[in-house]
Amino acid sequence: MVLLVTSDNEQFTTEKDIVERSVLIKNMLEDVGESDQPIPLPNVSSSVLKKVLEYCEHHRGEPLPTADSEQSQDETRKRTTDISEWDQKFITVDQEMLFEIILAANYLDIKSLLDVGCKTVANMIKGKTPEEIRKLFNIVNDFTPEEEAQIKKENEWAEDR
Amino acid sequence: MFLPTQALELSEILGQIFEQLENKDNASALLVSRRWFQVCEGIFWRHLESTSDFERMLVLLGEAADMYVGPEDNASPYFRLNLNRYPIHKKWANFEKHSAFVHSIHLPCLAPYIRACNLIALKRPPRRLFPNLRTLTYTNCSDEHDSGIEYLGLFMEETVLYFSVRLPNMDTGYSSIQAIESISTMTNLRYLEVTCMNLNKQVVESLSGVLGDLHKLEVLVLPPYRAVGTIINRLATHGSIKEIRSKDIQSKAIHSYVLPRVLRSSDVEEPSIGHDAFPSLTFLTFCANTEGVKKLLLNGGEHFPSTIRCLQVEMAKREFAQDLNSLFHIMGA
Repeated sequence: MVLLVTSDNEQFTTEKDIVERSVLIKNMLEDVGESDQPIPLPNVSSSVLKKVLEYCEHHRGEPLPTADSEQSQDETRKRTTDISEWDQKFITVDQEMLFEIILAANYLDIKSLLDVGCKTVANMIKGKTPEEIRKLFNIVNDFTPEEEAQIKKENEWAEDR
Repeated sequence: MFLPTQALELSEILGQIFEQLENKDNASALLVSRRWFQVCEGIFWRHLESTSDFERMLVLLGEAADMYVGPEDNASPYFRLNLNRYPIHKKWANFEKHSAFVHSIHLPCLAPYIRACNLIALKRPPRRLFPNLRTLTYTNCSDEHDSGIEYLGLFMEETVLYFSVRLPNMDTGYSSIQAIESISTMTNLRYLEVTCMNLNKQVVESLSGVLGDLHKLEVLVLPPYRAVGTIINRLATHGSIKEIRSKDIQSKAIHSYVLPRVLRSSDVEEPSIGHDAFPSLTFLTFCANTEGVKKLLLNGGEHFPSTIRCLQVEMAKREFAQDLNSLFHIMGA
């Protein structure tokens, strides 16, 4: 069993093979060896860790992606924005929680969860104009009008006719 | 603690999101903010996959493009977009700023762009146009005749690792030969795929000549019945070839005259395998008649590469059962 301590000082006890989906925790466990010492996660709150552990538990036993598994000579992009049904349901949360999960997945180094999060955001962006995207995520347009015009000109997009 | 909104500030996360998007959505994403632009620009230009992608690259070099869109009923208007004057110096600098991002290009049929290609070919700077190109494919050409194919060489950079081309059916095929000969500039090539409804003897010979320059080639894919002696023998002493395969394609034309697919045996060498041949070959496809296959398997004898896991024989004509049986016997041994 492994003891995790969140930023708001809550303790979570979980099984090693579940929590080892996080490369960060896996490496930490390997470094300290067999020990009952709690692992502090100062960047993750209890509400987020609960979600993350739910994800890890559901996917326990699945093979972890290896570093070179996605490399191939053919560098054309392999895009898959489809998400499995369970993951889809799991990630149907409010925007704040979605970004917290993404940040936690990034910090804990759980590639498949980060993937699900990023795909979800990508799906939210699809088909939207720059202004609609800014509104959706509350982003400020910090371009000068000249910069914006220049970028538009150099990165013009016209649909296939 | 991170703030949730920071997720859309971190470049590794933003990058992953943009990687999932199609270029038309990234065209919007890069206009969102400075931060998004910084991360998105390179991704937006990394993979040129469609006609739109190809045209936005051309637009960097031109001013007002002449946009003759052909008659409505014509599915592929002849001049969809073109450069109408020589690109000036400033344009090249702008082009090169963006082309340095490009990792893969899936070219549209070049026939509607021959004028633009010609201008580029005549006025290009003496540097690589795409210094980081890894993947190049040209499979959208017309099977009947493709005047654009002679400009394929413009995109063949030394850095390319993966190249796939579909050649038109032509019995003379001068521009096909020109395209094949330019392949030798891609000296780092690992994967080479040439498909065609009917690749003629001259093209096979040019190809075999080019193979000698591709020292790093690992996979060669040819149309059916084209892994003939000329090719096999040329590759026998090649240090890194792992797979020689064949791949068939569907004709795009509904009614097309297809030339005989099997080359005459007088036109091709019989494959043979000598001492120390094919040090790393795992998949071998070859085409020969029964005698040729027998000879290859027997002559190869003890030299036959032990690394081979799969052997595919393409017989030049229908064989009698007893001949086939004797082949199985040899292979069994």
